[in-house]
Amino acid sequence: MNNPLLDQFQNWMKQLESLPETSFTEQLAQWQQWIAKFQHQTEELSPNHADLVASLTAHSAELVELLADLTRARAHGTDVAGLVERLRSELHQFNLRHILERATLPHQFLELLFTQQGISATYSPEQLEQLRAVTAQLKHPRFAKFKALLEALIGWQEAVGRLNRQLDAVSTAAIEQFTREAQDSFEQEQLLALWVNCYDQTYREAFNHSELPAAQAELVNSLTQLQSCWQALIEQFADQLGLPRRSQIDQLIEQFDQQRRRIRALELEIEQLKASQN
Amino acid sequence: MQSFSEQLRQHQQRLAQALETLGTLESIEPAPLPAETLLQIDSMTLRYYPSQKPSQSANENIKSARPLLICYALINRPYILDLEPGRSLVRDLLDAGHSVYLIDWGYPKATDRYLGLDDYINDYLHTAVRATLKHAESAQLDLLGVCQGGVFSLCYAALYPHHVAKLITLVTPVDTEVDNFTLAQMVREVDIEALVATRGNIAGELLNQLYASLKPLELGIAKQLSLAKNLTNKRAARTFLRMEHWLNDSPDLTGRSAIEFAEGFFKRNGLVNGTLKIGDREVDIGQIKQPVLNAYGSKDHLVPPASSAALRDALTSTEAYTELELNGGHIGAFISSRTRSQLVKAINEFRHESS
Repeated sequence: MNNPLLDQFQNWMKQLESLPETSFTEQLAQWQQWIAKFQHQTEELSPNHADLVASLTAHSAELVELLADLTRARAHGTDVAGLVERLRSELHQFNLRHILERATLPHQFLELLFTQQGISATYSPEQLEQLRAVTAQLKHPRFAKFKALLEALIGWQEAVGRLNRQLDAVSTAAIEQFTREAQDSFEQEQLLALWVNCYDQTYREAFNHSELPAAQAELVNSLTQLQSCWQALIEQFADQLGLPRRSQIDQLIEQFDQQRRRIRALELEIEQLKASQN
Repeated sequence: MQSFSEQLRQHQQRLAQALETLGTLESIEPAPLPAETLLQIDSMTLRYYPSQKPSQSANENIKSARPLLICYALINRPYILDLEPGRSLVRDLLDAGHSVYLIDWGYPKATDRYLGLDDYINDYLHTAVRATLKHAESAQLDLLGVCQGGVFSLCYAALYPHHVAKLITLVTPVDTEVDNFTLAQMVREVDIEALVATRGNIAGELLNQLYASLKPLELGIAKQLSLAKNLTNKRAARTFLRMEHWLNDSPDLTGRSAIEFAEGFFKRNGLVNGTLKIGDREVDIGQIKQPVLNAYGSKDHLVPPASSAALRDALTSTEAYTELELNGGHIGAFISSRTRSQLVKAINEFRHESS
């Protein structure tokens, strides 16, 4: 297949051979331009696997930035111990982005409830206080379900905070292990691989104690409570609007299951009768 | 120490290679072995794999007259056992002369939320066993259970001993209270009944997130950052994309079975403590008399080796217990060609012994 964009990229790489080593900032800037082109012109690269191409180029950019950061730190004479603090806050945020923010449901709730966009997974103490104040105002029985929803939202946020603190402790322990095992002679990709290993190992070891499993379960349980309260509120609206409720659909499913079991029992009985006749 | 230029150049070359591979790679389709559908009940299908090589003269002495029924887990799809030519446990078993049947549990629907372990074991599995025996014209079969399918197989062998001659368990969790059983530790404190009450079935996507969270960096962002390394040529790319498709192809778990498995197996450690009930029948694996081959991966992060190896002490009545530790992870134990050939060799010897 003819890929002019790819051909241009390969020509650019050949030109790099003649560029002096010290111009890595310029190289990085050009590289970022190429990544932008790849991300906006994925159909020119592969019609079959456009989503994978987009993922590949996005994560290439992320990896190169990490490598560039490590290289700059090294170039300034920062040793491994010095890299640690740099890595700590970056990588902890990195972890949070990729672990905690998988829970999209609360974001959907919030965008619906408050018509705000881009709500982050963690609220500031001020935002939580505002929520608590609003919740305390809802005294009328008519608002009972809505109040329960907001209380569940606050509960979920508190669970996020507790899990955050546990993951922070994991990061601290992982960094201590990383500092012990990393050597100045390690290449940048070796350092990244070591970090991944240290973090995952420390994370698993933390599950042998009660705090991390409890914090993670609390997050799941609080999300479940949030969803349950949201469903209760929607049931209330459905009643008011004359629409089928979730609980009615559940009853239908249960009746369907009972019918299925009756049919299955009859099938087995017929099978036994046939077998006894043969 | 490499300069940034050298590193960037290396990375760019990998990226260019990966983009070139993707540019000419066709859509990846599964490449399964031909199989006959013998039975279909609700979402469950029983498949029979006809031998690919009718002349098995070199292997006739290995072939057992009894059929081998594979019982996979409810979570993930069983085609991992037949991913592609060169990575197929099913094909290797066929080549070794075994008569292979497989249960495919399918994709539960919202209306299946009340299917529980009683349905899966006392109905579907039991019916599949009888259908296999009828098709193979055999009085007994050998049962090979994989992961949760191994738990089902242990339960079945304890409840219906007359149908099962020999039992093989592969990467099967037994003791859920061993150290480093992160999945069990995660599940133990979750209010699973509340989860099911709000969601019905447990979504496959949620289960995927759960498994990825066992190694959050390695199975998450680190894998994505090293994506280019897996796409250096078409052959590697095809295998990678098939694996990725399988990893993300997780069926939902029915609500009732999720509750029963989480409570009875994970939280109460039912297999080891003898408290697991399927329907109204108690499961006591200490009563299993059949010979058992227990294979597991030494680097399994999903089911720790100690959890699988606990079967040794739990089987107090078995005629013969054989253990095989494979140098691999949960899936690597039977995907890697080296460990797969060790596994098939052990299965051959096990099934052939005093058949």
